[in-house]
This record gives sequence, C-alpha cells and structure tokens, in this order.
Amino acid sequence: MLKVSTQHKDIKNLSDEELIIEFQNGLVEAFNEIVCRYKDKLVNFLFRYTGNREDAEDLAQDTFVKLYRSKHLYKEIAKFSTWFYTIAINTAKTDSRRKSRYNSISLSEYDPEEDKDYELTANVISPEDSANASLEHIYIQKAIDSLDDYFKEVIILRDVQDLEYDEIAQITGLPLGTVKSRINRGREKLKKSLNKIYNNKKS
Amino acid sequence: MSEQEEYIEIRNKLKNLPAVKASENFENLLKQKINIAEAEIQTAGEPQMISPEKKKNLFDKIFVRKTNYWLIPALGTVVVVFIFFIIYNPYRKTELVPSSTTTQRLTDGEVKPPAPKTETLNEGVPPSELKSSNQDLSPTKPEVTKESEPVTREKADIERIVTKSVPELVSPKSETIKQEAQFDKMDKSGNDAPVLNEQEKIEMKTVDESKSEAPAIDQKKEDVNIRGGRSTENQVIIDGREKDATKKDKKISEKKSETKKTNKAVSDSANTVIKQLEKIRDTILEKEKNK
Repeated sequence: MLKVSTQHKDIKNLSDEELIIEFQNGLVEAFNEIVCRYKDKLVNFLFRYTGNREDAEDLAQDTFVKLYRSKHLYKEIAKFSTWFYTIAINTAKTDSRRKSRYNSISLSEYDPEEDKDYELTANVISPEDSANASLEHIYIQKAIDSLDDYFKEVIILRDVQDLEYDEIAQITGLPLGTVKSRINRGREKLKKSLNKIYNNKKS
Repeated sequence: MSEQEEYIEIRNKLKNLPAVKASENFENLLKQKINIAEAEIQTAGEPQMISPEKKKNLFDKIFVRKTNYWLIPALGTVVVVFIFFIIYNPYRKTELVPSSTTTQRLTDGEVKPPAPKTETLNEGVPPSELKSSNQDLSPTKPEVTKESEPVTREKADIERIVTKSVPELVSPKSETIKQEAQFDKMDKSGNDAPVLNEQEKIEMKTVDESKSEAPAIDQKKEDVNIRGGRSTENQVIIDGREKDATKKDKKISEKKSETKKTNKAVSDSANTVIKQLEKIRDTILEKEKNK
C-alpha cells in the first residue's frame, strides 16, 4: 500500500511533460493522471467550440484515444499542453467538416402532416447545466457559435482557457501578430453579435 | 489601452462563463474506446504506421535495389532484339519459301542466299568442261536429284507407263509379243534377263552408245532420249490419256513398281554388257602382247 501511495504521490508531483515521458516508457498510470488533469479543461474547451455537450465529450474521448495511440510522437521541444490542444483542435475541425457535409433539416419539416414538433437536442447548454447558467451565458454561447471557426478557436483559447499568446500561436500554427489581430477582430464580432441578440430578445 | 478597455467587458463575460465538467462515465467510455482501438491495432497492425514510401510500384518491385537501375537499358535492348527476331524470322521464312531453287537447298539442309545454283557452280568454268564438272559432281548429284527425282522422274515414268499401257489397251496382242520377246532373250543370252519391252530395247541401244562417255547411267539422259524418240507418239498418248484417265491412274501405281524393276534391270544389263566388252578388249590386248 505504501508503495502504491508513494507511486501515486510521485505521479501526481510530476509535470505534464514528465508524465507523457513516463507514459512513453510504458507507465499506464501516467496516462490516467493526464486524463484526470485535462478531461474537464478539454470538455469545457470543446463545449464552447461545438456548442453541444455530447459532441464535446465524444471529441474529448477521441482526443485522448489519439494521445494514447500517438504518444511516441510527442517531443520535449514544445509544452505538453500545446501539443495536446493541437490534437484537440484538429479533432474538432475534422468533426465540424464532416458534419457540414450533411444537410440537416428539422424533423417537423420532414413530416409536415403531423403536428408534432420534434425537439432536437439543444445546441446550447443542456438542461443539466441550465440550472447553473443564466440566460446571459446562453446568449454568449450563441454569440460564440455565430463566429467563424478561425475566430472562435483563438477567442476560446485566450479568453476561456486563458492561454498565452505565444502558446496560442504554437497551437494554431499562426504568427503572433496574426493571433493578436484575430483575437481582437473576434472580440469585435462577438460584441456585435451579443448586441444583436440582446436587441432581438428585447424586441 | 483603449482597445483593451473596450474588450474588457467581453473578456470578463467569457471568463465568467461556467466551466463545463466531464461526466462521471467519461473515463469508462474512454477505456472502452481505448480497448477497441487496441483491438483494431492488433488485427490490422497499425495502419497509421504505414508510410507512403512502403507502397511499391511495379517498377520498384522489379528493381528492388537502387543499384539495379542499370538493368533498364539492358532489358530494353533485350526486348528490342527479341521483337526483332520475332518479326524478322517469319519475314525471312516467307522470302525463302516461294522460289523453287531454294527448295532444293532447303532439302539439302544448307542455308544459302537465293541465288541460282548454276552461277555459283559454273563460275570460271569453261563451257567445254561443264560436262566433266558435272560428271565429277555426279556422285553428289544423286543426293540432290533424289529428292528432285520424284518431280521429274514421275513425269517420265508416267509417260513410259502410258506408252506401255496404251499399246496394251489398244492391242491385247502386245502381251503375246512381250512374251515372245522374252523367250527370244532367254534363248539368245542365256541369262535370267527380265522382261523388256520395245522401249527398253531402245534404252539399251542408247546406253551402248553412251557407255564410253558415262560409265554410270544418268537417269536424266535416258529421259531425254526417250522423250526425243517419242515426241510424236506422246501426242497420241495424251489423247489416249484423256480417254482412259481413271483406269490409267490405277495402272500407273502398279506399273511404277514395274518400271523401277525394269530400270534396275536395264542398268544391270548395261553393266553386264560393258563388263563383257571389257573382257573382250582385255583378251585382244593380251593376244597382241603375246604376239
């Protein structure tokens, strides 16, 4: 037991880079520790990116599976978080491209004779989260969903995940100046969309 | 600073958004997905690890090593040579087949250019010595003429057979005449001479005349003498042939063998005659010496 506890403590004291190295060496507990550390952050990031909780969890699991399979590709040149968020963003982008190929229609339109209105899964915060979230949060999420992908990702990484500009530049593969300008433009558009939403609700 | 102040409100709103946490079943579901991925890896064998470089083209399969690229021009020349022989050999054979002179050479087993044989043999040879040269070549000629003999001999044989057969058909008494001639021979010579017709008698005369010139009887000379003496009668033969074509065909095959025998007999008889004459000459010479 003591040995296990010491191992447990040792693993928890390791940094992210050390954990991935241990995992590369064959220590599966290091991977479990990485999952514990990053699952909430990852789900939150992907939720804000996709706007759907189920999709966010699926994408988060897919990201961890990719990490599990391609652990040997990590090199100590960059931070582990940078490499991990790069995988997550690429997974989310491929999923959004795949979904954009299929034209989605409402079921009520599919069956015009019936009076039923099929309620699709909310593209915003689920009912579980709605108790904790105010309407303003819902509006903000709607405003984020209205943004383009290349604005959305930098704003969420900067303002939601609170990452540094240089780290965002490494994740996205963009120059530092481009990242800053894109973040400002994204904030501007977000502000305008929020004003529209507020005005529409008031009217 | 002003820009940052403008966006502080939005930044605060975004920071104040509630953090969405993972569900309780997140890790269980993740383990299931990892197990599925590992199973796929074991069955498929990590398809992601296959690099495009490992995909080999047919060209790469032939030339496994980079050092074998020198084989390309060699293989090209081999293919060209192979195609050349495939195309050229049939073309060459078609050239060789149509000419008659080349057929003789083909039968000899010799491969010669399609030039006439007389030119090659008679180069620098005066016409007066052509006979001797031909005589010298006579031992070889039978080898050549043997296979060409059927072409020329058959005609001569047919004509002989027809000349023999026509008088037989026209006059059944010819058989009695033959028998009488045979008996006459048997009485005169005392030898087991075979049955000889009038043609064969003429052939004997011609052989006696030409014996000094050619110790070996040439079949072609016989044919020429026969043809020269029977030119008028051949016309009659042709007319008769047309009338009795079917019956003659049957008899021709039967009499071919007879002609062969007669030819042999003629040659044997000529040889005997020559030997007898030589003996007589030798006796005369001995008498003169003794005197």
